[in-house]
Amino acid sequence: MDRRLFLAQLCNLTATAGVSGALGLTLLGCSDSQQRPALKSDDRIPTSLRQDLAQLVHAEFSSHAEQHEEVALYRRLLDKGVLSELGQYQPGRLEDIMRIEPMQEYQGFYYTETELELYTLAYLLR
Amino acid sequence: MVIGSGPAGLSTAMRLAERGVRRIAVIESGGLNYSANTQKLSTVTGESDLGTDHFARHSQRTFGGTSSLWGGWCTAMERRAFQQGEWAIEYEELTRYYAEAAEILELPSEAIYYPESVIEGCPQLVYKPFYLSNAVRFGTKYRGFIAAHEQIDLLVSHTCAKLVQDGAIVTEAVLRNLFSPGAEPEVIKADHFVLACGGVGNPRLLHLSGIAPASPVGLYLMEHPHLVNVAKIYLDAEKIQRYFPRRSRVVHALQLSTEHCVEQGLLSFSVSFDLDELHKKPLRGSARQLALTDVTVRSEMPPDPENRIELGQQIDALGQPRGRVQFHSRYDRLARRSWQTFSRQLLNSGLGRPAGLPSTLKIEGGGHLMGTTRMGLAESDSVVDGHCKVHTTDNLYIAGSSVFPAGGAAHPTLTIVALALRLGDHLAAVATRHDHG
Repeated sequence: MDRRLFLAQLCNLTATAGVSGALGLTLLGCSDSQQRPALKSDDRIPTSLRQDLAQLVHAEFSSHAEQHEEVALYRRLLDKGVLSELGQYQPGRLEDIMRIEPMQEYQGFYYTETELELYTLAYLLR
Repeated sequence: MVIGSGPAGLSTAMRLAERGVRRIAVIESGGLNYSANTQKLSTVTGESDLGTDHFARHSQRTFGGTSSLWGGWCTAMERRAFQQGEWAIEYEELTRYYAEAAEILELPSEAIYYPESVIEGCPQLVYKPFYLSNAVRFGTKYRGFIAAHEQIDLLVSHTCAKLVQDGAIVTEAVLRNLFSPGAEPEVIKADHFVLACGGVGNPRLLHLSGIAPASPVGLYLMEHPHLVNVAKIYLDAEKIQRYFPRRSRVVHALQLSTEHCVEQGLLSFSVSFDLDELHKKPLRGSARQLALTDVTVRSEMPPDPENRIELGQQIDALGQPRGRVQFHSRYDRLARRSWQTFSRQLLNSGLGRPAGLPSTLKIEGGGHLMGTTRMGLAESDSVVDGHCKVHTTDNLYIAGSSVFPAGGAAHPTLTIVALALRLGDHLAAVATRHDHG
């Protein structure tokens, strides 16, 4: 799927879901006005990313991992800019996003959505 | 005459003596040692989500007062408690007495000069520990000093039953002896009177004496709600230890900054922790050594006139109405909102990860009975002025936490002693002017 089309469709879905969602994604740098290279159909998660994220692997995220799929998580984190086009992890971007995302509880403790996605991806890629 | 010999009463009396006041009487309801019978005079009735025993227990009738139970925790009052004009004095007017108060309480100077540190990168959070003193027992430490003092006369086992007024002047104190309840009361005259009987005893004595009936005597009773081991947090052990004082014994705590509290419409909120077991876990996108710790919340509560001490129907062994307490902290909603705000800042700071609060909160009290003879500018909404003088009198003063119009989240003893020293200075100057006509 063409990445621009994918993003446009994702943002349209968000506009349907609500203004705050759209605002969130706009703040996260996702809008149909942005030009990004398309995901290749045979795109694989870079091996280097597995190594980068190895430090974040923790069994605590196994139950969250059961409900998620690694490629979908990878793409979400790419879209948010937490992972670069080369699949490199961008910790500064994660920190910026965490400041504005609402908190949610996971196993009794507070995370933000993107933080939890990152650790879940790390677990899936272990 | 100083009525009550706890930290407030003794600090005031000793300061008066130091400033040259020639004759000071300290009147104490209890004896030199604890007596369960005498302590029963502090029993109150009424309704409280802390139980009524809580108020009696923290009104100790013995020489040294409630310092006999004191845990030694000290911290400076937050500036937030002064931010919106709650107090009739400036914050600096209080804090300039903190160094001397710290000496009396055997606190390290770090408690005064480094009360808090802003968390790097997150000015909404401060590290503000509770400094631990030697838990000075005023009754033990000062017994010999007071007994030998030429200017101070100590009268124990005598309960002030009533103050007598002639217009705006309080002329005498009527004293009763529990061990001779049928005996004629003794009457002692003085030029100036200081009530230092605690958050329950001070308003009760004003009620018994019919003093300041148009002022909110007994109203706005405050405590410090405690949520003990209410939740867990993970803390970056290496980062947080950078803020720890080097020389002092403390209980570690994080607090929302004054500015952030004001911005969010919150009251002071402190979260104490320890660094217990370490776990390697991710936090803000990197692997860290995180200490998992239970936390205890200690917080400020807003003054509510429905929380109060009045005279009840039950009569004590001296034939006087006991105090009747009405107290409900109504803290649940404020606690949850404050915890959400604190959690947000803790995550933003990269310092730690909090857990959610349980669905039911068990609220305890700190034993800090405040606000029942509050300080303020007007007789209509306060009992004492900025010099702790009862508005409607010329010569009656109050020492202790009952004068606090806002309690902060700080343990009150340091502030109690600081205000007592300040009162002593003021009263000594007044007494000197009086002596010189």
